[in-house]
Amino acid sequence: MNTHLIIPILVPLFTAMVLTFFSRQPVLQRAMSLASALGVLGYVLWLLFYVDQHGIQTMAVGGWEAPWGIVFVADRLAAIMLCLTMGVGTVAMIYTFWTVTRVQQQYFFYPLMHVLMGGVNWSFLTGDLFNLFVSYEVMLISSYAMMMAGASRQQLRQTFKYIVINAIGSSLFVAAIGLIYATVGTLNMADIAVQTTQLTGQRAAMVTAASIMLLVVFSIKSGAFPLFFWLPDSYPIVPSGVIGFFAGMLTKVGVYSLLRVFITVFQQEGGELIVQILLVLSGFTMLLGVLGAMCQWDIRRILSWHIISQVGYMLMGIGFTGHVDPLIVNMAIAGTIFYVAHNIIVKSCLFLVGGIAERITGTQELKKMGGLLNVAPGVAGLFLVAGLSIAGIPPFTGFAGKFTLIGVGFSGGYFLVVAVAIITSFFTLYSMMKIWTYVFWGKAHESQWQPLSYRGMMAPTAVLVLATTAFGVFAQPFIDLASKAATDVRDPNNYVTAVLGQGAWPVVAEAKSDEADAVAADDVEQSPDAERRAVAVVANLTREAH
Amino acid sequence: MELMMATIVALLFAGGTYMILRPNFIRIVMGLGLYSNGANLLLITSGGYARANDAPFVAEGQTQFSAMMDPLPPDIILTAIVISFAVGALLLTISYRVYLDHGTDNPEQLPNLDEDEGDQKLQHLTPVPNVFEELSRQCADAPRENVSGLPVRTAHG
Repeated sequence: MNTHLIIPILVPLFTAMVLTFFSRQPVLQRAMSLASALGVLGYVLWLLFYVDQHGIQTMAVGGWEAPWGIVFVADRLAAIMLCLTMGVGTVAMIYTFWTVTRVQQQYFFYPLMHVLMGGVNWSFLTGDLFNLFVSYEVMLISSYAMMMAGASRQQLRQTFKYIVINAIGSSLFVAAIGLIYATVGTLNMADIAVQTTQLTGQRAAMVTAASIMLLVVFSIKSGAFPLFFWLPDSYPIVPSGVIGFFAGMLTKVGVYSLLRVFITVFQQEGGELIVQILLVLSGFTMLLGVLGAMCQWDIRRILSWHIISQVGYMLMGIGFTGHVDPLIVNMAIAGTIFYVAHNIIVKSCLFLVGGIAERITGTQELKKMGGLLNVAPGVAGLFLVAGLSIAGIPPFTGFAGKFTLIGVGFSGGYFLVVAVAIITSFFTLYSMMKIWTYVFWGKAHESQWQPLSYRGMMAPTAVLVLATTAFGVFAQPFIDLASKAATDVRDPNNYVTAVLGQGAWPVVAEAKSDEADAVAADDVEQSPDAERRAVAVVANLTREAH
Repeated sequence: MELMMATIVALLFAGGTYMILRPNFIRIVMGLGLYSNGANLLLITSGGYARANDAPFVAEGQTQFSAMMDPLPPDIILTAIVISFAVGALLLTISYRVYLDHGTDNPEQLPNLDEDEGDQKLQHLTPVPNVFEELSRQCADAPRENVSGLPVRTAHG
């Protein structure tokens, strides 16, 4: 029982509540926002170290024991995601000190930002399927309101579409929860994992059908292949600054849910179908995302299309988990986690740099920009690092992430989708070069430029650039952490034991009677060994790469 | 009973899909309402409502139990209803604002993102005139009509 696990949820929500009373005092509001965000950031960093040392932490809300009450679970993956949320959220918040308008701030800009962060943290921590739905709604409702901040014609119109598609997704989510509850009789994620291991035949097929509905919901949220069309139309209207947080975090919440729900939770017979579908979808997502980006001439739309293409890489990583070899599955999940972390940092960074370029030139259209290299060489440097990182050039994080995923794909024999991934990577580089050529080179249209200060905005952006460089150069400890997190995700034993208590996970006993074969990697004694092997393989790969 | 519930859920989802595909804001919002009702009915059915009719209450000293309904689904539905209610209210407000701004309630007649007026794209850079402030200023400027029937108090008394 760790009551402190509720801090990342409760503190942002409470801050939001207090801030609404000070809507006319901008300086006080900013100071309180920053203090609260930094406090929670400090806590989640401590939580990551604590969870890494002491294993999974759980908290039963209101003292109701696990299968009946709502439970919050912090394993390594959740702790990593919490650190990224609060880190990127704090950076984006500092950035908005320069961009937010007086009117936006009066109409509860910072309170909404805190609710958004609280909702995202909540969705990472929760261990209950219905609670996941509630956290999604908290996150979505605040994102609707943030998207409308300022209430221009364009914002209202696009937000309407965004709300409609997400409301359809929410209804499907509730329906899927109903089907799962009718079949399995529980909504606690650990308990579902236990119950579904014994499911076969029709009941297993029912759970698979419900999980396909969940797949639709999470695909809408993460912007995966046939359901990505809302994303490039709605992200460009989000106020500058917050878009860094939107682009970085909101789609990754969908990816996190895919990873958590389909790999840790659903264990029924025939559940591999989802992973196979994801592998096919990932190729389309990557390729169509990057092709969409290539024909755009608006900096925000290019970057928005790239979000889709990058989500494709993460889906590919999840798709690789359909392999029979647990070692490859482990590495695939580790690669996915590392890639998610890389993408959250770099994508936010690119949007923040794009915001600075927009502020200087006064336009979002590439053809009207130009000549920034002479005027603001610092901004050019920031973009160069972020752009090279997302294209996968060493020594930045994009290289380590892509290299791990593509290496796993080759050793797993998924050549087609790996080929698509490599082609996508080239096109990404092309897009980044296009932005570089049109924004930073060329003749400056100085007559349109606005006399607004931008230098302060470079500081928070530089933090993200430093992060991607540091994580890329010293990738080893982070990949180690990711592969330890991957072991927890792949093998539900630790998760279930932490939530439901010792002996709740049924597969352990079976594996012991079976004696050692590939399945035995699920065994408690075997799992540190498998983990060590996985770490060693990834370490070798990375060393060769450097 | 279960068959009937399943039929109703199917009808609600089919009707909701039809309504969402209509080119009219109000119908879209109503379609979403049908969707959420369908999902809630599905949840109610999953709680064994069709098979057990007793409410899940236990009297003091009760030792004999008949088949009770599962209390969790109604609890979940309560939360889901509140959420869909809030989202529906927000959607109605926005559709009214979009109607005021664009003069149409047909989503197909709204302009796309890239064929819109250019100055709107930059609204985040310069302080925008806020609708609420604008309205309250207009209200303050407008000559007050005395609709209350009470004697008007002016600055002179």
